[in-house]
Amino acid sequence: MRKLRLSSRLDSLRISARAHKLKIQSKISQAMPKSGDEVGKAIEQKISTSQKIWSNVGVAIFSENALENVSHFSSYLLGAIMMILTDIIMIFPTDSKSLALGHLIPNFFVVAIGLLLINAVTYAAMRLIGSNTPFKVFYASVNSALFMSLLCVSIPIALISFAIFSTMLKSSSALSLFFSIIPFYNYMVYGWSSETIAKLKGLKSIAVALIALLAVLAFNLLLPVFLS
Amino acid sequence: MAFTLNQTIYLALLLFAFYGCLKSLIIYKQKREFKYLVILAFFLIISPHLWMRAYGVKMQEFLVTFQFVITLIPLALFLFYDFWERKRLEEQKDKIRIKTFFERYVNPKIIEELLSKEKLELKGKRQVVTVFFMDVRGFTKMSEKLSAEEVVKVLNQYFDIATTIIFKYDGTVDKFVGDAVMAIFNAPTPVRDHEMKAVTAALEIQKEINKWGRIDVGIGIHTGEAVIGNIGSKHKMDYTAIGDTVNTASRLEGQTGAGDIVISNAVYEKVKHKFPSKHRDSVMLKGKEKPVEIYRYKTKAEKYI
Repeated sequence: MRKLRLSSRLDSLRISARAHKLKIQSKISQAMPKSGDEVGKAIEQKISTSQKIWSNVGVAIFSENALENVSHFSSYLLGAIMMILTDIIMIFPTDSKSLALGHLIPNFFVVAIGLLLINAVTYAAMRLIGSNTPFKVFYASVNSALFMSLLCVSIPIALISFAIFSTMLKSSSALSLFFSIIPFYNYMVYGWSSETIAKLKGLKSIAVALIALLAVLAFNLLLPVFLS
Repeated sequence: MAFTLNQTIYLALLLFAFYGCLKSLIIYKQKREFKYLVILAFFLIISPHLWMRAYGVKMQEFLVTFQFVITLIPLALFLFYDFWERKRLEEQKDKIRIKTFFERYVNPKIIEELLSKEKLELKGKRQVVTVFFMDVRGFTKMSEKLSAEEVVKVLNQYFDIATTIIFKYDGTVDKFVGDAVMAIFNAPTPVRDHEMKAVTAALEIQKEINKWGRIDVGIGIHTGEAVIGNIGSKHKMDYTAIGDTVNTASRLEGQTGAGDIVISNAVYEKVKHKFPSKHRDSVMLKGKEKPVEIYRYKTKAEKYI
């Protein structure tokens, strides 16, 4: 039988047809549903971080194990989310009279910059003193601890004390004085978490805590000046 | 609220005082030393003073603000005391449990050492131990001549001599199997010169048994790696050693005559400077492919200790 000789045009057509077929196949494989196992893993990966955070709520009450666990799944994204959540809690004033909706957005950025600054100052101090902790770990862990302490300790205490003071004592001055003590708890959590995550020993460890405490105190004292 | 420089300094000091409270409490929790409670009390006392200075508050206002907190202090103290007391009782219960479990086997000095440790390692682990096997020679013949009560009496006296001397040299009585005693040296707590202590204990036991004169015993000793730990089922569990070292020690004991101590070459290397032996031999032990070099102490004919 005589062998048919294909023209060069036909050859190029065949090649482009094969490339087109491969392209279609790759599109199909992308669009095809993955196995149940893969889908399950993907979902688990997405929800497990939040679950892990909640299962380590002990960071709000100075649990070293909980902080250690949080530090293991730290990421910049987690740190940023925690910082934004802290920021949202902090921009709202404690009394409704001083709440101005128009100022919330600028205040959000002021608080965010402030939080970033105290993180930077504390981390720089940590590194200068001798810590080798990566910034990602510090950023995510410390902000998680701060947010959890606000959400799980400070806000409930503030609500309970508000109820007690306004119904039983009926003393607004006592209430505002009592409220002044609550942020100290968050300062403690911030200082303690910075110190623990720095993994230093002795006086170096205490120095990190004191610098972190001073940074967060300065932030809180200067914040009203910059807030609109 | 705007703060003056003076107030800001007091605020910083208040913050440091709170940190002092927290830090001393954390360290006290870890070390349980009284001095940290004193430090905590110091910071707790100065904190209200610093708070009043920082916020320019008088004592009356302070009392109004914190009256609830102050009234809750006795309750908090009670809960705190209750918590520590429960924890202490739980720990005490654990210690009693461990003590009752071990006091049958181990020198009381070792039990105290075990209990003073933060963590007790009873999980299985491979380590070098000296295994000691002792058996009564001609026990069946002897028991045929004596009444059951007398056999028990003789056995109890014999076990008494053996355990007292094994404990004296920091050994652990692993088990009694009929008239045989198995002991281990270097577990659960490390024993320095465990080979030497095992051989000294064996020589002393032979000396005492010979002096007593009612029975004769043979002792086999071998040293090497064995798996040590709590071994058994959930219904019955014993702290024991298993492995080839244990089998070899048992086989060496099988090579003994009345009043003999048979040790392996590994043990002899560690004790030869103090207890040299003229009786070197090479024997085939059950389960071994090659002949094993052994050394014998004939305590009935020779004096070593």
